Amino acid sequence: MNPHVASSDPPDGGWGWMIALAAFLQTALVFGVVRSFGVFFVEFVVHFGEPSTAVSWISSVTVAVLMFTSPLASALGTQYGERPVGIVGGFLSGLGLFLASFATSLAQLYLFIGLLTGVGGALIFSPSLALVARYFKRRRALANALVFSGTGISALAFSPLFQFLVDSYGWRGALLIVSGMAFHLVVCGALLRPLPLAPNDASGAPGQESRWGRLASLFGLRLLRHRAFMTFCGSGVLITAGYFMPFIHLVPHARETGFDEYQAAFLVSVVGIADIAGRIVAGWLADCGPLRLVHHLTLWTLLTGVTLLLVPLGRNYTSMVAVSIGYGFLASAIIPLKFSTLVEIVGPDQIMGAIGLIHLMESFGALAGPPLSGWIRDATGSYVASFQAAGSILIVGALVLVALPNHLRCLPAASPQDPEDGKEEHDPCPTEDGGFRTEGS
Amino acid sequence: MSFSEARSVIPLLLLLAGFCLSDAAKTPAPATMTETTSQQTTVNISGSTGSEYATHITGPSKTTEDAKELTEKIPVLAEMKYNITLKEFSTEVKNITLGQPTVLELLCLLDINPLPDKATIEVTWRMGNTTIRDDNATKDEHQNIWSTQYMAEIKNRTQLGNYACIFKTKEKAEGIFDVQVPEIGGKSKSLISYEGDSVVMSCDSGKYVPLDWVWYTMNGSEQVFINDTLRPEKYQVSPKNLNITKLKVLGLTENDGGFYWCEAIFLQLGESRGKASLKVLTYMAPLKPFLAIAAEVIILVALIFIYEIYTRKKEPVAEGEKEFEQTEQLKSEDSNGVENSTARHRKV
Repeated sequence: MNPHVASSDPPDGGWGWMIALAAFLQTALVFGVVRSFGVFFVEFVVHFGEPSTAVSWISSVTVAVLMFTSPLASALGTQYGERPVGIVGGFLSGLGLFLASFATSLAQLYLFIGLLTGVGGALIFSPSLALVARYFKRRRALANALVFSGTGISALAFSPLFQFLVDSYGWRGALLIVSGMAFHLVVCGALLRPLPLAPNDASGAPGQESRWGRLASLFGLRLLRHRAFMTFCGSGVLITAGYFMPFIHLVPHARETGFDEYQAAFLVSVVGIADIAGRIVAGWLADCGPLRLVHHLTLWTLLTGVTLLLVPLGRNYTSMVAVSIGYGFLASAIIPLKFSTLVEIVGPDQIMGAIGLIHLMESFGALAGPPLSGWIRDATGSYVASFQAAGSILIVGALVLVALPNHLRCLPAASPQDPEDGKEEHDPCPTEDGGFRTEGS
Repeated sequence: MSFSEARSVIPLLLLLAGFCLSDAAKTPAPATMTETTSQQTTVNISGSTGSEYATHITGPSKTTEDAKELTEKIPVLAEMKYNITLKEFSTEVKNITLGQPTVLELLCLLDINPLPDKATIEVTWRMGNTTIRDDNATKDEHQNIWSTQYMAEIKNRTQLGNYACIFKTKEKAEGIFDVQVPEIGGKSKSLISYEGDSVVMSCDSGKYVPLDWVWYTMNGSEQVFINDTLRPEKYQVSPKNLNITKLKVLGLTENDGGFYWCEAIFLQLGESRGKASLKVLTYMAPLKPFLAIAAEVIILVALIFIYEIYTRKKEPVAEGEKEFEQTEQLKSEDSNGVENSTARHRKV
């Protein structure tokens, strides 16, 4: 066994599972907290006397900062390594929430939670995902699925927990304790033991590049010329735009169809549970199935789009529940599969830069989605049209994926009995510029 | 990843859009209350109930013109109708909530089957325990329904209570109209705040706009009126003429904990009370769990690093032959310090 090759082989296990655990905790703590923040909003509105729109900006600012600083986080991670960046990110996230518990005005909340926790979240997010990509190859999709299920589980668990904390300690005390929870992100960062890349995968000879070249490669700018990546980004923007529109509109649509608050809230819980199940099933399927990851992604996206088109058929409660389950199950698979596919496209060495860039681009989809759907709803008078629009956008996004190079070629795919020496990747896809790379030696 | 928390953003962004578009909620009822510390007070309320009236309260009028003006303003009462349909043997209760003096038309219908042999059914109207009317019920021509009607003018608090119509059939049938002032919604949970911080307590009277709100606190077992004009640095009450009131208490101390009562005074009909409770904590309360969690985090991080250094120390022998490619690895991947400067092991 050639030690040269063996040293670069992704472990697909071992410490990799600790990395997966770290990433799981990270998604749980960063996004689970953001999702469960509703409990605090109510308290802020009462305490600061501000309207709910102003208060809801806290969460929006956090997410926006997180997404926009993703490329920066990727660059820092590439430069200084994942672990230090992750630890700093975890510390900043916790610090933001800690300072927020002493806040005396809404502006301070924007600063502490929005800026500090947002930046911290970005700094821990990119490196941990990149490391998961590097530690896993064969079981990458499953690992990603497990990682992203963190959000769903924590959103379910944190909401009641936060409510309990607020009831016992008031919002200040609750924020203090939540910041303690967030400091566990430092633990996640500490777990990010780096895995050096194989020489082949390494990005060029850095010493020879100019400073701008170095900077460009840090930010992954050369990816902008990577045709497959840009196509993927394009589909990513569309998918992001269409992806969560239904999620927000589910409750108002249910209320308008005549169901009461608890029934509508139950729909959300149903989506959440189906979400967790869907991610794990999709990840497991992707790893052991014969199709390539990108095929899985296309398939799930298409199915989600079709499900959304069926929403208007949900006239009574049972059919709405069925549609919600379907949507939650199918849509949840999209995120982990996206990241797994992304690694396949750009390779583990560039994954961090890729994550940063794709976040940045998708943020436009994310920010455009809700106003667009709100506008559609206002223009047509019901949410049905916005569901159908979301479904169509998703279908278009899936079709864009088909436009990826080599999409239809290179049929199956990962044979589970992969030789242990980690030679060529299983799909005999020729490497061309903009095409898929072969991984391993 | 952008999705999952984008998911959480979206409700908020959409709320934002929604609120920007429908900016309705902020228009207070155009209630003006001019109160002079001298004798005469005039109150004008045009509330959402749709009835307008001006009522004069106390005070000798200064001029005859004023007196005329006052007597000319006759309260225009709201009128409301309520029905109860009864079967034999049954007792039905209907709750009626009034925010202002109202004329109530109370109608009791008795659906009886089979036809009684009597030509008439006697009905008694009672208010509380006193009988207010004895009557005969009238039968509808086409159906077996007997009805009786009572007009009640609810103008002051003594007229609130239970109005019952009792049909004197073989088995009594009774319909009860429970006429009360609105209940005030308070919070069932305690509000929690910290020393030195401020807290806002609120009460809501629903659709009914009271004349005024008064806040009380408990001192031992006594009720103490909260005077915000006397101590504006401590208490702020606002607003007073809507269906919501907020009491802001500043500079909290532990003594400020306990029960608070918000009392809504409705025009001529009396008051209604809501309750709020406050708990004031010191910062030590949440600080202890926080320090415990922080200590746990530090211990975990330390353990992880110790484990790493320990396992790395065990490997220098096995990794000897990999020194050559090590340097290549280091060149291609910027070293991040201590962690990977030495052996890079491959987990099996």
